[in-house]
Amino acid sequence: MDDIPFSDIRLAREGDPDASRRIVEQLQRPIIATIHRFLGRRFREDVEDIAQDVFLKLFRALDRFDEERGVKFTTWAFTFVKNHCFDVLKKRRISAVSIDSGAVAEEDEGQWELADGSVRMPPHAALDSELGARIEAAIESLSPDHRMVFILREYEQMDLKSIAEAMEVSEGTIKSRLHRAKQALIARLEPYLKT
Amino acid sequence: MNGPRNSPEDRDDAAWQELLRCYRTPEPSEGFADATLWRIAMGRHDPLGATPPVSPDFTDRVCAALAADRAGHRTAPAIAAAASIARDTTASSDSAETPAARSETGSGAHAPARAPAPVELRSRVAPYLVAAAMLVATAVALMWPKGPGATMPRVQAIAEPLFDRTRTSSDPVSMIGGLIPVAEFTTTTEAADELFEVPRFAPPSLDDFFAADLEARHRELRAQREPHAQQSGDATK
Repeated sequence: MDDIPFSDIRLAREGDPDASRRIVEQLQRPIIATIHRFLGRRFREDVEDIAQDVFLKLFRALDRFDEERGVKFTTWAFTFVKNHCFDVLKKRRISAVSIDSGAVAEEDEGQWELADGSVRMPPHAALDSELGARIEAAIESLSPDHRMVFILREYEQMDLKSIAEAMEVSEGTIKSRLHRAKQALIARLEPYLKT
Repeated sequence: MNGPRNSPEDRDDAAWQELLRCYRTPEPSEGFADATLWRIAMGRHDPLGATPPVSPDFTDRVCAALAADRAGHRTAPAIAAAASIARDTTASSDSAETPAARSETGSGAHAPARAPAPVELRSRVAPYLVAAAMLVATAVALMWPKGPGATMPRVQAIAEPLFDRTRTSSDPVSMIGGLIPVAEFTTTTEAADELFEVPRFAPPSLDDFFAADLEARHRELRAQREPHAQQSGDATK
């Protein structure tokens, strides 16, 4: 993901509408996609509203962004995404199942019959949307911390250092979370990997 | 740079990436950027928590207004308006204060606020009624006999031995037992009177009836034999 030029950030601080537009247009897709993947199906209707709230917070805090600290603006922006998403989850009191406990989300238990390798898979083309839904459910079954790390790494292609800065934890923790999240997802999505 | 991806790990990774790509998210709607920028612009005009500071003499002005109000230094229209509001709000109340008294005390603006409507008796008693009903229901449920086929209240079960007592052979009641019509008794003897007073719903006892019947037959036989015995005694004499 390309970073935002500092010139645009300075102009946006001064209220320049074009610079603000460039920032919004560059960040809207990754932010909306991350919110969509992180919050899952329950928030599908609210994703853009939540993304707007993130942008509002981001622009109100523009003055606090210090480019001399060496932190990318996109990384800084994803700190807002992470914090706001966690707040939304907390407010809606949705309990996410932690993979640390080894527990599995109950609600989708019935959808995992395909884990049995003897079940025949339909043609791949017909499965695209169904597969997407299953991947979504699998990601949703991760704990919020693991889920956010996985999304930022695998979907937004952020490097570990940036993820660590956005999540405000060490790189080692990020590596560990990423590994565990991936193992949990591979275990759940294994039948689809064989095709 | 990476070489050709031919190892099993690379193939697994490629399959993994391909799988993850199946989960797509919708693109932002067309007006998203505009709507967001509009909200940001609105936020800049009146950003959250950035309300303009109050004027330096704001506190003084508020205190002065309060002091003037307390001292009753009001303008005539304000007093009239307050009085009219007070009259409207207190007209239907049961206050003993007269209009003259109200005008003397200044206005209805300082009149005490109307007391909240009293809670109806029914509303106050209702919880107790419900509690009492539940208590009675619990008592009945506890008295109800347990076990299969038990349908009688325990009270009846307790009273039943009283009826059983009438079945004893020594009790004259059982001799009637509902089998011998009361009309067959004569009311000339005291025993018959006693029997007549016996409740008719006494449960029948077949054994007692046969015992009474045997006793009656025995008495008849004895009565038949006694004249013969007397006759034979006279003859021997």
